[in-house]
Amino acid sequence: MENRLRELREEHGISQRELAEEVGVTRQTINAVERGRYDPSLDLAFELGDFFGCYAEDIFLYDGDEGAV
Amino acid sequence: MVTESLEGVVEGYSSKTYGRVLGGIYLSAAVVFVVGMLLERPAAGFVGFVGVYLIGVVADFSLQRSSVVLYDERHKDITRRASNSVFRIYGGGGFLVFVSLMGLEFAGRYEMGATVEALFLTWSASVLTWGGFYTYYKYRY
Repeated sequence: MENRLRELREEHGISQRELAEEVGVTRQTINAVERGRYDPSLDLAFELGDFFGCYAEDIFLYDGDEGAV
Repeated sequence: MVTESLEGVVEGYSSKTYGRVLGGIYLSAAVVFVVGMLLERPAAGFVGFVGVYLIGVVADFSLQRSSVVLYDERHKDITRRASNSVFRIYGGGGFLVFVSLMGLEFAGRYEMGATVEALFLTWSASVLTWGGFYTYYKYRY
């Protein structure tokens, strides 16, 4: 799933480590999400939305074709 | 008071550093065991292994109760994927091997020895345990 996490994080001028500490995960997880290698749980998606003051769907861009067989 | 002062120290290092230190401790435990075997002192190696491993477990347990995030949802996901892969290899592979061996045995072309029979029973017990947990979670969620 594509996302705007890196863009939002850079707009806010914080490092991956700082963001990780804010939302209670490891820096590696933030890095994996930014690179599209890991889709976060709903909890983490909402937590990130809460941190950036937006909705989770403003960060994560759902592509309806994903997961289609 | 001691906990409060330690909390400040603990936060001074990243979770990556703690992960590496813990990995180093667990690896050292394995090395101690292997060295004990190589020096023909298996009992000493085993005691050393248990001692070093316990140090790792205590450090791991303590860090999980501090503000350091050692394991998060991605770690759980990786663990789940690894467990899945192991089960597929041993579960699926074991099925192929044991069904083939039993087929050969019924055809009178092979006789299962004690070791293979023990392996078969262990494999069956593992698969049944998996099935038990699967059923439990299926009805729980």
